[in-house]
This record gives sequence, C-alpha cells and structure tokens, in this order.
Amino acid sequence: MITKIIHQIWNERKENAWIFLELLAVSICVWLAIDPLFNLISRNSVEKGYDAENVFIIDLERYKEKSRKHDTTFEGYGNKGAAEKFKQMLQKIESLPEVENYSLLQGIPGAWDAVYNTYIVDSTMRADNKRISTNIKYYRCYETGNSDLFATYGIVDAHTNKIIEKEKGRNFVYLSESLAKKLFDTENVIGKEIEEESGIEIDSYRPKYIVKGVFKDIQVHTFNAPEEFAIFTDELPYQYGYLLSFYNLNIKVKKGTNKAEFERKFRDEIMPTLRGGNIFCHKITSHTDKIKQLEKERGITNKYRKSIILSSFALLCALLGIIGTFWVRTVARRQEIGIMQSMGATRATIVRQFVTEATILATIAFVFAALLLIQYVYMNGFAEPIGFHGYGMKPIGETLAWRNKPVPHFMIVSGISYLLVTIISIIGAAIPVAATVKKEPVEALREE
Amino acid sequence: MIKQFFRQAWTMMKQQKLFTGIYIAGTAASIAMAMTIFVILYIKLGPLYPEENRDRMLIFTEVVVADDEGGGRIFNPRLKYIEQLKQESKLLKKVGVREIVPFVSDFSHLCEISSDNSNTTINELPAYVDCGYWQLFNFRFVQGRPFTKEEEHSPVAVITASLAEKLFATTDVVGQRIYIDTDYYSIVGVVEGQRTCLTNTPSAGNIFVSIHHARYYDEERKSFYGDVNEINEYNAFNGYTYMYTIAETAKQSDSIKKEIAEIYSRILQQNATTNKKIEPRIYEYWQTAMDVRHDSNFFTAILEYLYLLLAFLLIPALNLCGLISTRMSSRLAEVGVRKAYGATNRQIITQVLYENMLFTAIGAFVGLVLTYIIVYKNCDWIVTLFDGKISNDTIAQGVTFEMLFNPTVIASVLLLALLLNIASALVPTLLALKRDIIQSLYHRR
Repeated sequence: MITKIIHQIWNERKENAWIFLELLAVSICVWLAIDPLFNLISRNSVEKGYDAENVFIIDLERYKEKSRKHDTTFEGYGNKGAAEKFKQMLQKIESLPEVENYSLLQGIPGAWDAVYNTYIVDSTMRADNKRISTNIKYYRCYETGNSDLFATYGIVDAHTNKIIEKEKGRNFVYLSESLAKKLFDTENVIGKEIEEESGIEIDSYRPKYIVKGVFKDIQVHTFNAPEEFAIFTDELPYQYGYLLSFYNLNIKVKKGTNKAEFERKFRDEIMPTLRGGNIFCHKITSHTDKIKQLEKERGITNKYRKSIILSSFALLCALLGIIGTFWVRTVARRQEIGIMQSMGATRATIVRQFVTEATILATIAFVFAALLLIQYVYMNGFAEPIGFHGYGMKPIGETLAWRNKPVPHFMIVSGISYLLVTIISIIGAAIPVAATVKKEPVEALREE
Repeated sequence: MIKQFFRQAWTMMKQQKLFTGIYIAGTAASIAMAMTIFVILYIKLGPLYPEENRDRMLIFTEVVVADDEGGGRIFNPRLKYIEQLKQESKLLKKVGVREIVPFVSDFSHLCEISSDNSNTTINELPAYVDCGYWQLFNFRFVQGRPFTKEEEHSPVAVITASLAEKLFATTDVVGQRIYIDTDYYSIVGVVEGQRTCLTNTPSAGNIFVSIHHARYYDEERKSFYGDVNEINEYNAFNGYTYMYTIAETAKQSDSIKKEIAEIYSRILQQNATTNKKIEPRIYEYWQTAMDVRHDSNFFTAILEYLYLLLAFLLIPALNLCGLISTRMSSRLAEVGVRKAYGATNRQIITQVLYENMLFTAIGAFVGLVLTYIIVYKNCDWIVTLFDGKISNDTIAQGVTFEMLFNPTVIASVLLLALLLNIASALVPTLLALKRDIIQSLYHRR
C-alpha cells in the first residue's frame, strides 16, 4: 500500500509541491521554536538543592529621612533601640500560626545572582599545602532568634542528606560540596577557615570564617546548573539599617496552609501593622512568583512566549493548509473513492490511505527540513541556554549530561517537532476525507 | 467586468464554504500576527502624544571616558555642562533636560506623593525636568500651564489628570498643594494623563517638578557614590541627567550629534582638567526605544521583527498558493473555455486576482479586528515582547485609540493584504496558464 501511495504522491507532485513547501517551512519554524523551549524542559528537571515550595519573600524597606513616617530616634550607628524594634518585628512574624520557619537572607535561591568576593585558603588548611585565592559566590544570612535558613529552604547536608542544623554564632560559613572540595582538596572540612582577601577589620568582626557545614550544590539561578556556593551566617549587626536594604525576609509556611489566603492576610492585615524602627515590610511575594518575575525581567519569558506564538502559528497554518489541500483533493478524487467503496473498501481503509499520504508528505518534508537544520545548527549552534555566564558558572546546557550533547539534543528537539507536524498533518487530512467518505458510493459516482 | 468577477467570487464563496473558510482564516491569522508586530513597532516608535517628534528626537545619555586599561567608563551628562553646551552651540534650538535615576543600591527610589485633603499616598518617582522640557513635548494642558525659567527654583509642579483625580478627585487643582515626601509644591498645570503606553519613555511620569529640586542634582556633592564608596577621580565626569533635543529636519541630526560631541568633550576636558579621551554618545529616539547601540542601524535593530514577519507572511502565503493551485487545476476546463473564446492570459490572471482580492479583503478585515483584540487584551506584555530586558520602569500600560486606529496602521494592513494576495495568487495562476487550450479542455473529459 505504501508503494502505491508514494506513486500517488509522485504522480500528483505538482499539486503536492505547495503543501510540501509549506510543511518544510512549518517544520523549520516549529523546530526553531521548540529548541529554546527544550531548555525550559531541561531546566525543570534539574535538582535544585533547595525546596522553596512554601516560601514567601518579603521585601524590606526603610522609611527614608524625607518620609513623613521616618523616625530619627531609630537612626545612627549602633542604635540598639532600632535593633530591638527590628527583632520585635521578626518575633511578631515568627509567632504567626502559619509560619514554620524564617530567615534573613541576602539573595533568593533560584532568583537572584549572588555576591562575589575573593577568599583565601591558607596553605596549612589544605592537603597539598598550597595557598589558594579564589572567587566565591555567596549569600549572606543573618541569624536572629529562631530564624533558620537551612530549615526554611530545606538545604541538606551533603553527606547525611538531612537538613543542616544551624549553629548560633559569628562568622560561620557553610560550603557547597563542590566548593569545599575545591577550597580544601579534602572531604573533611568542618572547622577549617577561609579568609576574606580584601578584608579590613571593622568593629569586632574578623574577616575569617569557620566552616560549619557542607551542603549539596544549589541552583542559584533557575537557568544555571547547581554550582559552587557558600553561605555566610552571622548575627544581626547593630548598624543594620542601611545593610538591610540588601536583605529579604524569607518565610516558610506550614504544609497545608492555604498560600493565597496567607499572602492576602499578610499583605492586607499583618503587613500594615509591622514596623521595626525605620524598617518596614514593603511587599510579600511567593517564591514561585518571584522567579516568574525575574524571568520576565530578564526577557526569558518573552523568549518562550515568542517560541510558543511562532510554533502555534506555524502549526495552525499547517493544519489549515493540509485541510484545504486534502479537501480539494478528496473532492477531485470522489469518483475514485466511490469505486473503491463499491469494490468493498471500508471507510477506515480510505481514510487510512489519505492519512498515510499526509504522513508520508510530512515525513519527507521533515527529512528535508532536518537536513537544512543540521546545516543551521552547524553554523549557529543550538538556541542558547539562557543564564548568567561568567565567574566560572556553568549554564545548564553544559552540565546536563547526555541530554545536551549535540546529537541527543538534535534528536530530541527533532523528535518533538516531527511528532507535532505529523499529528497536525494527520488531523488535517482526516477531517476532509472522513467528511467525504460519509457519502454513499452511488452518490459519489453519480456526481461524477 | 470587475463587478462580474466579484459576483462570481461571491457565488463561489457561497458554494465552497470550506475553501473560503480556510482561505479567510489563513489570511486573517497571517494579517493578525503581522499587524501585531506593526502595532508594537508603532507604539514604540510612532508619533504618539506627547512625543510627536520622535522621528527627529535626539537623546544625549552617555559619556564614555577612556580609562587607563584601554576600556571606557560610562557616565551620564551633567546639568551644569549641558547649560554651557546650550550657550556655545549654534545648532541646538530646543533643549530639555530630565534627571535620571542612576543604578544605586539605595532603598526605594519611590517618593510618597500625597495631598492635604486626602489620606491617599501614592508611591511614585517624580520626573525632575527643566523648563525647556515643555517645549520638546506637546503636552496638552487640561488646566494651567508649564512652569517657567523664573519658577525653576520655586516649589511648583505639573501633574497629570489621572494623578489629580486620584489625589484630589478633580482635575481643577491649579494652586493646590501636593507633597513629595515632606516637601510641598504648588500645582501650576495639569496635563492629559494616558500617554505612551510604555513607562520608560522621555515623557513618562505623573508629577513633574523642576530639576533643581532633584535628589541627585547637587553640584557640590562629589557624587552619590561618595556616600557608600570611595570617591574616585571619575566623579568629575558624573552627572544625573539625560538631554533631549529636536533636530529641525531628520538630515540635521548628524550635524547636531557631531556638534554636541565636540563641544561637550571640550567642556568636560576643561572642567575635569583631563586629557582622557571623551566620547559623548547621542542616541536617536528609536535607538533608545529599541535598546540598541548608538551606532547601530535601523535594519539590524528590526531584524528580529523582520524574521518573524517573514514567517508570519511566508507560511500562510505558501498555504494559499497550495489552495489556489489545487483549485486552479480543478478549474482548468473553465480556463480552457475562456481561452478558446479569446480571453488573454492577462484577463484570466486579473480575474483570479480580483476573486482572491475579495477573500483577502475579508481576511484582512478579520485579521485587523483580531490584531486590535490581541493588542488590547494583552497590552501589559505584548508591547514589550521583543525586549531583552524588562525592568519595572518599562512595564506597558493600556493602549489608547490613537495607537490602534491611525492611518499608518490601516495603510500597513492594506499593503500587507495586497502583498499576500499577489504573492499567493500570481504564481499558481501563471503555472496553470502554461497549459494550452486543448490540454485544459481535455482535462475535463
């Protein structure tokens, strides 16, 4: 049957040329649109190293000197009254029945590029006795009262796989698995020290940090692979007023809490009553929304929107084109259909014949498209994995093992695109043919 | 004759509903998508209230000062030097200055805007402008007037009608007081509110006060960065303003750019007593709107739009070609008969084109309506669809009547429809006409 259909396609090559060209163009467009979308699928399958499902981010703001609400008694270096007020505000939040944990963090895992600085590891700390100086990407976290970053974000110990237990104190650092290995060249790193290269001694702070734990690498930005990372923890300093502009309050709500209702309640009822000195809660956003917002700002959402619009449009056109072509074709071949039906062919047989014809057409078009696309990929590469490059960070594309090697990547994207184009072609061919074969064979033959 | 063609097309339309439906749907989809791109471009670049001179507007935003490592550091122009530039320049006629907020790790840039007689507080960034600003943009004043040169040091403000409605519940507010944080200003004018859709255009803002009240305008202050970071030698170059000007003709732009660059570099070198190479960058309006470099050309900037436009037109055109081609082969007999009675190829092509014109026209109309629905319903994101980065400052607001219903947009639809019609009907018809009469008639046997 297939040979017969191929002959049929060849005999009607002039009529088929247009739909073939259209399928070719559609295949290329769909492939080019699916390629960046593939990055999205890849990204979602990455293990993040944290769990932010129930986390809300609260932006902290400060009443400026010019604000009508500004209170001068809470200003000035080392203002203990202000620190006390701020702690009281945190306690109020902590006592909310929905709140499980909270932390004060400079950065939002997955949504915010962290801070960098150069740190030194002394030769005595390393197995190979080499002094190293390297750039470290980190978040800084202030622990106050019962706040607990690791519990809030479910960050687990690299060895025991249990949530890291925080230790209270100053100048502690927690390292990610790969960073610990890089810095100390050994597995056993607890208690070792790293030093800030440009550190100046301020107040009573010594810019030396003791390693207190090792966690699994975390995904700092949704479009980068989990990476080398550090978290510095410290007690809330007194001159926090200015510093807090860089910090967010991260709240984890208990499982089963109605998140939308909590967000509404916090925004409308609780937030207006909260004030810690000149610091106030400006906005509450769920972690998920924060990520969405960031992707929108970075133009990532736009990229996906464009891909989806282009592929949907191309597929819609292909559907219309196939329906139109096959409709005219079935009308023209009504006599043939009539004869086939009177010779005993079932409706299903006839529909199958036309559908196979469409599938073969789509397949041939896709093969040609794939050949062109191989050239394109060879010249321009795949769609760029979006993310922040630099400082030794690896975009997801480079780390996701087999999926992003050129051949599997091409095959997966092509497979998805081929499937879409073929499905559309089958639907497009089946609709008009099914409508035509409903007629009685006698009627079809008489019309001719 | 034409009437007859249309009548025939109309009859055919009624007979072959599926064919017509697919043809119109294909055309409408194509026109809708292509027109959406046009409308986005029009909103970004077209002459919209109050920026009706966008085609001739030049924006001086950056000064690159060469550093010792062979690179360059970017600064913004400084108000004091712009004043000097204005005096020395021969070509600059209308000049307006607006403060920009540099990227600083400060707390919120937003101010609390409030009034005496309401508890409402609006958090917004005021626009700090000079009196020349009002000559550059064609603001329509609902009440009052812009502030003058003499008033630049007085606490006066111009606000938009929408802000007036929010704070005072009326637009009749000239003479009333408005607060920016704890400072009060008396309102001298109220301008029409809804404007350019995007919130990062030069005319954006809801409350305008003199640049002399701006937070960053402080000649004595070394630099804002001086508060947090060390003061460095580059502070001599720093400023916090954008300068806008309008060339009299589009051609004059280049000489104005050259003049600004020459004079400003000289002024800066003198004031900062430096021999460093200084390169002032003056952008044309479209360059800032498309967020491209000051030396990029228009074609490269809209390449992405063109690729999409091509896809939106090419795929449906192939689609229509296929449809018409298949139909032409079933109408070969008709063509044969017409040819036998002496019709020329030209007449037959004209007939097919007119027939399709009717379908295309209907498709174009449906497509245009779809475009309006798409843009109107999704204006909060669709206008910035092609932007690589969207900050809070660029978030799009509602579209206005003039953005959608204007001669440029309508003319583009007509042109696109005509293009689509000719492209899709001409080739298949020519191919069908290649056969001779006997063959065409034989086909019917």
